[in-house]
Amino acid sequence: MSGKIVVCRCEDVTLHELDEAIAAGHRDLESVKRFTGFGTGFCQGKQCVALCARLLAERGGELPTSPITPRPPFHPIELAKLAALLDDDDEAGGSAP
Amino acid sequence: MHSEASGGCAARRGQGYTASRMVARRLAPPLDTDTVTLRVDGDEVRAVRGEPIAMSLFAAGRLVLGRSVKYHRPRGAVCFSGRCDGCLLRVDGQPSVRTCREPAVDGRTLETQNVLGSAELDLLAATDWFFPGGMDHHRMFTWAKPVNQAMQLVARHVAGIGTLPETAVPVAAVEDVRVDVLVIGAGASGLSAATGCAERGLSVLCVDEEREPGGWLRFDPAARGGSSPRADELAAAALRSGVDLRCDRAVAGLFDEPRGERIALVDGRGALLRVRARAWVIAQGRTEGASAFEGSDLPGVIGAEAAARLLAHGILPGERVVIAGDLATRSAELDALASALKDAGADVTGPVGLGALVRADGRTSVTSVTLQRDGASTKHPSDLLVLGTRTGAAYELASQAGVRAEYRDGVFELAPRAQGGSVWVVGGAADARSFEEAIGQGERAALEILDALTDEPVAELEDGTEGSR
Repeated sequence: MSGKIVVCRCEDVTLHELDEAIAAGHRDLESVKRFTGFGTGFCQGKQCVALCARLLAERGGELPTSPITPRPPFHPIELAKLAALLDDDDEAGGSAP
Repeated sequence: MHSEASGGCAARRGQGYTASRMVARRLAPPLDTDTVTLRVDGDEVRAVRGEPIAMSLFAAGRLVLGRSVKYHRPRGAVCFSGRCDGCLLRVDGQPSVRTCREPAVDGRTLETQNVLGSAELDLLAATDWFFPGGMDHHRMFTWAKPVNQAMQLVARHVAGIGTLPETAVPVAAVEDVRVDVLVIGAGASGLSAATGCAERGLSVLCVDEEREPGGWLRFDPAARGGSSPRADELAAAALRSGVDLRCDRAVAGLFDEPRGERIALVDGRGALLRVRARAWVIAQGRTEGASAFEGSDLPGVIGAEAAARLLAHGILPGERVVIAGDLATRSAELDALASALKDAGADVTGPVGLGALVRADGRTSVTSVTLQRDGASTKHPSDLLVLGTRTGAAYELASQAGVRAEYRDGVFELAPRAQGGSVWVVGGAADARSFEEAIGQGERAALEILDALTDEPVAELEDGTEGSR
């Protein structure tokens, strides 16, 4: 393997990329997330968000007031299960999850 | 403690999984009647019936289960609790299945995803060397349209995880459940809350993503072999009091419906539960996170909770183990883990502080760990690095239900309960430090819930606990 330090396993985000985001002027967790893509992969940040928040704080960034928004699903779920909701919700006026 | 490296990695140089490697092993041979065979990329792997597949593979020395999405770096299970990306395989034709949540059943077919070659030797790993600092997605190949289009074609073949199933999956059934209280998590605090509510006449559904109730009680290194009389007692009390206790059910999300109603979607085997409740108890415990150092993403780097889970399943996760962690918050726990690993026959270095950790090395899994102590750097031949990072609350579902998650001491914790809300957070997620405290929080929540729900003039309180709307 090369000498990368990976800070987000799911999206292969490196410490170098985090530093580049900060050098590009991003100072808060949400902006750095959008710039690098950390926390947006399979595990949705369960492994990396606190780490990235600490690394950002250590580099003079803002202390986060909250994590990145934890949207559903909490765990990956098959579309075949969500599809089961469609008919019902269509009748009820549409509130697909 | 080790002092110096001495070329102890020679036994692990094989490229395939047939090479002899003593990494993890079972503490006792399984009974013949419990043994099943899994098919992994054409190989046969023996497993214990019903155990998580990711653990079967780990016990068989198959640490490398896949490759990362962009750089094709080796990937293996880290958490064994469904909260990382490490154990994804194609299982019986279904892509990206978390094999730590799938039971070993005779004849199941597992395939590595996203490799050109094998998990151990993936030719696409060249991308890791081609982009030593990482890819700059903001500017890379964007300077000319044809170049950009050509690169997109390449990237689509190189990147990603899994491909769609060959045949359509039948649409699942939906079961509607309406209860007074939904408890998410059947550990010490969740079971106590559920029992407390049910004993007072409330209808309670309690779900847990594990296959057995008891939560951390079953993985505590002090509870050998995953058995815990205390967990059994708490679960039995819940059932006696009338709690609808369902394991192997993960909550996919909490949603606020337009009419002001909140629903939980619960992922069950082959079915989806849509739950409406009047009070919501979140007892999902805590999460270990990653740490940043060279080699932190190598297979063979696992969480301390994962190591305890493997031990509870009768698997010694490594022979030469280094433990590093947040000694300020987890010293006692990591000491207990170190003792349990030593008792099971491992050679253990540490626990040392995370600051002492310099790097983990190995071609596709850990073969050595370098520690810096007292100004001197020492390379320890190892096959397992256990990380006990500072844990934070499992805040995701609570956040979806409107509880604020805030940054405290390098992790995220949940804010204290807002007056008048319908969500109670108990146990590890509420920073309970012991099983006693967790049980106390659960019991207290039950009293508060009874108070809150009986104040409400709801005509349909006895409106049945299950069934369609």
